[in-house]
Amino acid sequence: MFLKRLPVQLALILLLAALASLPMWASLPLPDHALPIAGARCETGCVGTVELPARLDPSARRVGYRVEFTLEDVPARPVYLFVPLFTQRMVVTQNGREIADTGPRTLMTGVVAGQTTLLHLPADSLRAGRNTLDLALYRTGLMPGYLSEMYVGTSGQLTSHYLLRLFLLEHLRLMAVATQLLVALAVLVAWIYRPREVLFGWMLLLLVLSLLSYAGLLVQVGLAGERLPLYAFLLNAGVSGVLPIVALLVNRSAVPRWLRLGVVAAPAAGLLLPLGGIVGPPAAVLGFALPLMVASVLVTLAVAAWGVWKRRIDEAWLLFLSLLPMAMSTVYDALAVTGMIDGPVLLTVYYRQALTLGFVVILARRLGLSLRQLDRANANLALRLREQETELAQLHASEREKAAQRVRGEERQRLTADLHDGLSGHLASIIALAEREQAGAIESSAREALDDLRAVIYSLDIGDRELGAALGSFRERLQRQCRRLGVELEWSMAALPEISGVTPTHVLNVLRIMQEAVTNAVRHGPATRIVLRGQPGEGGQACLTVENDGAPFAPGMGFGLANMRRRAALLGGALRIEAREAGTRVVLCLPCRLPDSRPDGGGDRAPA
Amino acid sequence: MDSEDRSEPAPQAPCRILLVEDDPVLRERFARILSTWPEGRLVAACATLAEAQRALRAEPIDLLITDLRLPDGHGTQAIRLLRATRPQAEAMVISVLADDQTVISAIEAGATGYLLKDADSLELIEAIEALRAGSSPISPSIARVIVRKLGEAAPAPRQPEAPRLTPRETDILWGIAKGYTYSELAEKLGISRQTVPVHVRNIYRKLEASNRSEAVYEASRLGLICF
Repeated sequence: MFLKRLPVQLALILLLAALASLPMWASLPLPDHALPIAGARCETGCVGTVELPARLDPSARRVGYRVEFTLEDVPARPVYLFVPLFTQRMVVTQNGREIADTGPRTLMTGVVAGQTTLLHLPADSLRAGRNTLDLALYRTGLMPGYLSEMYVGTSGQLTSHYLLRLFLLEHLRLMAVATQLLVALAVLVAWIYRPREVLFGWMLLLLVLSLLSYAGLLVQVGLAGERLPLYAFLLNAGVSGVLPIVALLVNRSAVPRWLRLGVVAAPAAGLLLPLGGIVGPPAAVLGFALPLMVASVLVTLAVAAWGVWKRRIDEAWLLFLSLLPMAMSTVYDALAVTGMIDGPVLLTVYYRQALTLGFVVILARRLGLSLRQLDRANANLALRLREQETELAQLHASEREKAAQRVRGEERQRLTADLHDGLSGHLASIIALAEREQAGAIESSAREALDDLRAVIYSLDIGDRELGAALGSFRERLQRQCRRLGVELEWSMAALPEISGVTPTHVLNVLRIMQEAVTNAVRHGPATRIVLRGQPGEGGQACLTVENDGAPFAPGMGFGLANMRRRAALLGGALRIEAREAGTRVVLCLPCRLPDSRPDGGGDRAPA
Repeated sequence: MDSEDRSEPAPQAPCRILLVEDDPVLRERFARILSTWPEGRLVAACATLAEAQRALRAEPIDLLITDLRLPDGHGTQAIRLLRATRPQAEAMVISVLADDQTVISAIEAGATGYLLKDADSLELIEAIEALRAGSSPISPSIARVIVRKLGEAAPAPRQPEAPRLTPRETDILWGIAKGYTYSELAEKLGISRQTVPVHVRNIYRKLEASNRSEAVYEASRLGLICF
């Protein structure tokens, strides 16, 4: 990336530093056509004459100056005194008459860090020739007093210069407070919704602590006591600890425990000094809080620089850039407060906002990055979802194909078993009979084979609870058989309870048991009458009875008895064979719900 | 080709039978059985559809007994031709299994009876006589298929000619599908046992009627009907 090249970075840093140092070497334009006052005579708190701008004696509580200016005649238009920059409270007396006191109408920031004023000089006390103004400056804060050169002129000559300074010295400073409050709120919200992001918490602490430097405003609006600003400033020393922590967190480095303790220890020590009576609050500020602040800012700048050039962290670069003006202003202010340079206007008030804005950028960048990541993750997820859906669809299709194959396989197996049980046995006996040329037996065997084939084929279509239909088809075949054999058939199945769980295999098992019973009756007990009945049995069972009037049953009579019993067992039912006075009764009792039948479990391999 | 006087046989006139069966052994067997029936006269025993169509056009037929799968076509074509030329004539299909699909397609073509290929002489003659007396046979599996077919046809708007069965006919169809004998059914419904097969015949005719458009198409294709 373009910004990651060192020359570019250095150029950017130099440019920023140059811009930030602008107030230190450049000055605002001054009125050209107004009457300048560049010198003053000391009345109190100093001796002799001074050239303006002048720095006031720090030890004096009140400094009085007398300045003089000459008017050629009494002006027709209103005349003003414009003081571009001064600190402290100023009382102005014109020709022995007090005309203004800036104290009650200036905010604390102005009092300590520079203000401007435009005073109307009352026309009735102005005279042609020499006029005198007495300026009394009352010291209120830590800052050394300052008075710039002054101008006397009309509103047209002075107003624009006054308004520009009013904006910079008062309005802009209040905007800075508003910005800081706003950003603090934004960080707070970010932190509430993402508490695990420790950096947000420290940022918030930093913003809140640095708001303490506006405590003077609270005093002025009557919300706090006189001494609050100094203590607040000492509490504000906590910032010295928080700043490096923020930089370390941005660098994704570990925060040493002592540094975290320092966040509490620094303000505590700062408060202890004056409260414990060791030194006064001003000395505590100047000798403790201020140096600590300067050191902290410089160390933090170094940490950020380390993050930028050693650890190559983008966020550290943002922090570094936003910290640079603040570091410069802190050093500058420290020098100004200690009187080492002539600078009544404290710059930190302005440049701290660079850091605040840096926070906003970091926050917004993180939000943007998270959203971008979210988009990517979403796209990725959507892609994977599509892939998986396709995979699933393929899997489903192959699964369905497999299932269909399995069903076909099972059906084939079952059909094979069913045909094997019936048809193939008959065909084998037909072949055997044909070899011996037994035409009558061949015919009946072939008929049985065809009937069995019909049974198999009809059973294919039988669904659950359709045993009745299957029995109906069986009846048709049986009727033909009985008529050929001259056997009377009586059939009544209307009373048979409905049976569920019926499968083609079950149907074939039932029909083969019945067929076997009929065949036995015809073969072994030469019957003239066969009765088939369906009726309810005990415990909800459905019982099918085959009765004949042939020979009574004797053990070992039927060939297929073992097969019949096995089939009955597969149906979950019971087979009972009873000898009657004349004839035999076969009773098959089935449960009202037939057991599940596997296609290979239904057909045993015995010939029917 | 048809004339009124020839198409209306006298009540005592012998029943003119056309047999269509491609298997020579079976054809001969049926022909032999039919020749023993005094009330009938076997007009021809054909082996192909073409022969059958020629025979149908040549002479009025009262009863067509046909196999369905023929070397040059399908027995239903012969049945349609018969039903189009002589609506009062009867048709009967011969099938090895008398399975549902075969029989239903024959019924829709206009058949009112079916016969198993292994039917003996007694069965064959009985079946013909029952058919001529106005009764049609029906097996539970065929009844089941018809019930299902009617159930499917009901909601489909494409079949305006779905057969409308009377409640009685519906009851009979249901009963047979459940495996009841004619006697059980007659007792259950409080009707005479002999009327059951007559109802079955009516059901078959309605099935044919619902399929008439196809029959009409078939007839027009054969040049029997001019629009």
